[in-house]
Amino acid sequence: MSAVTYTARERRAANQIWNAAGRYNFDPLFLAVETKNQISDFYMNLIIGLAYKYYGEKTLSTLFGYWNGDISQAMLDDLTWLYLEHVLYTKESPVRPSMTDLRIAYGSDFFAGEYKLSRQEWMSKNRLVYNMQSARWSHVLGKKNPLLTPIEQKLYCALTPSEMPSPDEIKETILAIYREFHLFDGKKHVKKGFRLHVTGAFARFLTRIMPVQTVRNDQIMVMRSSQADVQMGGTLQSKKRGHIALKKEISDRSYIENCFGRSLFSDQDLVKIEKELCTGNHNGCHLWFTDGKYTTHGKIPDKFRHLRDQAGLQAERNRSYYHKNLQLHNSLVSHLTEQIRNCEQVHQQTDVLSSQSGSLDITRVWRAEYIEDDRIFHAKEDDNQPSFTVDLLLDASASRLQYQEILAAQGVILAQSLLACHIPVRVSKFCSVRGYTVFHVLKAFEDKKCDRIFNYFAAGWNRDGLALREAEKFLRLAPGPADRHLLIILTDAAPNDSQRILPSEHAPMGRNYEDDVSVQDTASEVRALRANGIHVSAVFMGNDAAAHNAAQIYGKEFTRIRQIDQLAKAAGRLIQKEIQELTIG
Amino acid sequence: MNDLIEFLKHEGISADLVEEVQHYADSHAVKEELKSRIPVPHFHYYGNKIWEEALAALLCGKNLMLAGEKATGKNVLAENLAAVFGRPAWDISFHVNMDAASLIGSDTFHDGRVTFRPGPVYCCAENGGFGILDEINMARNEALAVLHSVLDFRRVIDVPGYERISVAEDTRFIATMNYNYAGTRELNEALASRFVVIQMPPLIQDDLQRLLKDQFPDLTAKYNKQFALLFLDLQKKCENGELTEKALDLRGTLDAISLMQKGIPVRDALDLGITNKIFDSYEQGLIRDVIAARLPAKLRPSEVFE
Repeated sequence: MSAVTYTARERRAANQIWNAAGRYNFDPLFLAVETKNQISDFYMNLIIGLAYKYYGEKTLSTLFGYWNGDISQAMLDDLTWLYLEHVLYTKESPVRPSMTDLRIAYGSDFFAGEYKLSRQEWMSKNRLVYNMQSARWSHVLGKKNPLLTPIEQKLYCALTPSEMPSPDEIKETILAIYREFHLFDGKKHVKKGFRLHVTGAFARFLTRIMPVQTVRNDQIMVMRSSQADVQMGGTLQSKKRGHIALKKEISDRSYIENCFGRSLFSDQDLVKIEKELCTGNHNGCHLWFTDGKYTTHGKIPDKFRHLRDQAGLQAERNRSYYHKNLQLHNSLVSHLTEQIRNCEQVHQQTDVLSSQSGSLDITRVWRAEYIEDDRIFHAKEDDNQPSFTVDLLLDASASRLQYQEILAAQGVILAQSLLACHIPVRVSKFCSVRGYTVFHVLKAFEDKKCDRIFNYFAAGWNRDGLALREAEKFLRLAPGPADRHLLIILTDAAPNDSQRILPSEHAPMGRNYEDDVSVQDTASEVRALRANGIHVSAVFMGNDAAAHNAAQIYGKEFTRIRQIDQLAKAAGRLIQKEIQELTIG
Repeated sequence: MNDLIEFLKHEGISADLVEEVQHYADSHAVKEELKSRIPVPHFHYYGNKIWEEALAALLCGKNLMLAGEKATGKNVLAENLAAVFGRPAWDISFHVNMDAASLIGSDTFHDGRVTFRPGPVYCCAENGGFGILDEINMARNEALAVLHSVLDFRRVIDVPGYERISVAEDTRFIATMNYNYAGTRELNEALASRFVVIQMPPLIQDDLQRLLKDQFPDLTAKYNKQFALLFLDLQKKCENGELTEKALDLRGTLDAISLMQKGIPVRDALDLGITNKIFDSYEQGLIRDVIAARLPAKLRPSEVFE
């Protein structure tokens, strides 16, 4: 299983590499997707795949790892691929008839590209690499060799060996060439970054004018997935500002309304629902149910206007990501639709009716003879009424910042597949900000389009226990067209909120809503939902430590995914399981 | 049939088994009107171990289940077996709406009377045929329950309201199934226990090349190998979930080579035989990449054949 999220173009390139390698159990270090010429990319991917076939993943990652981060990394990578291209072509071309034509096409494209380069592009090219490449492709095309210095001539010969080194020899052979020509001495020469540690007023000033790392807090910041810090293993967390924010309840409400959209319930109804749901561990919390639409009356303060604009921008990014990879996404929708349809077809119930054709019902034959009723046959009619609804509840806390576009796309894929199968689906997201747990309906059961799912954005905390209570309440108030309900939650099994649990008999000082306390709370809410007849399953994506939490909360009813782009498939499996259970249950 | 016996001998299948099969076929006569039901296979199944297991099971009077992925030769083997034993075959393709009546038979109204119209399993059982139960796990388990008494030691068919008939001694059932096929289900234990199950291995390069040589003797050795490898590349892509099983179509590959024989350019023929059968443009791109990684774009049919 692939552990990397690919765009449609990258996935196709990876497929070209896997195909040439004859193996699919690795994620390639290199992908050729850069040039505008598809044949050139194709040939290079073929070479990369063959490198994996003959040298293996470990050898290649060690080899390129020697100079990874070195100031000459780009040059050394290019020269190494030039070397590998020659040995792999020589080895494979006798058994792969397509290679010669592809190689010639690649060479022609190399020279054709020369005329298209701008001055800046020429300057960014490494002269030595260019000379070596030029010599190689001139030779391939039968052109006159370019003028090379004697040292370059020697290097070119070294990069064009007559024999293919074995996997044991390749690393040493290439390192020896680079040593001989003083290109790499075996030690990495890293260009050190400039680091400055500042504190106090100067630090405050700098954080205003410089980009800063994300800190999860109660201030909504809609930001690009790419801006979120991946390297640090997620977002940092600070609960300090949360406590200050608690003191400003009225402004908080207006803040929530302005950030997330109008409430779906009147103030009176919302108070009633809060009274009913915000008890126990959630005492003192607030709820917000919204469809993401904003109220239009009154002047919008600038700070809210900015947030709305940012949310709008994220929606645009989600939409553009989906459409950029439309071919792949359509393919996923059609696969998932087919799987669910097949499962439905296999397990659907059939009604037997009396009819004028079909298989003979001998108990009715007399009717034809005596009362001229010709409906003496059995006909089967498939029961096409939806027998259950699906609620997809997406965690939209800041821990999902890196995946916003992919998550929105996965939500759309699943919703479209279920719509095609006539299974009612609702997609919602939840997050907690300033003591409010916001339940945002992105697509209602009655919506025929999935476009609003693109309004997904991540921010704040996740108070899973309370979100589940909200989900149940909403399910009771808007149950959709079937009696049976499947609730699928995308979760990291790490519930966490800035709003503390208020002091009680058991904890006179109150407690933070995190770790064991929040896991136990969420687990009890899941049990309560199941006791009320709602089928709860989870798609879990998180670290190994949280996997234990997921098991505690959801029992066996969860499926783990490594990458967010596996969400729709995983949810599809859960839905198929539900369809199977329907016929047994 | 003689042709198949020769083929088995040539393949090096156990001489005792081949002799017993020949003896069986010679000593069990087939009614004249059923002779047209004895299959004449277009393809031979390759794989000595599987042949020997299947022949031994059928000689012992067992029913056979061939379980395996798409394009592992399940139906080819089933047809080959009926042919080598010289028995009439009934092909019964299973589907989700299959019921007991469509297997055993149903009532019909004829000349003012309700009469029984026999189904394929009934005919097969009455005439000592080979019943090929294709994709048996497509049907609902409740529909298959009627087969229990036919397949186990009782070997009877009891149709309510009619006579109870015994299954003829020569009757055998060969079921095929693919666990991973969309729309299939787990076979219930009661039914599975009534079969001897052979897990069909995926086609290997050697067997594929021999099959291609059988079908297209004028294909050059170089391209015989390339087409076999092309099929295996697609097989690997399907196994790894990058392509749906629809793309794995041996018949399609053979059809494409036939088209090349008629002068259709190689890439176009492969499009007609394989790529165009997939209606998903992303998957079509993946298939074309697999083809492009093996065969030159300008390859002419005349270069492929001797």
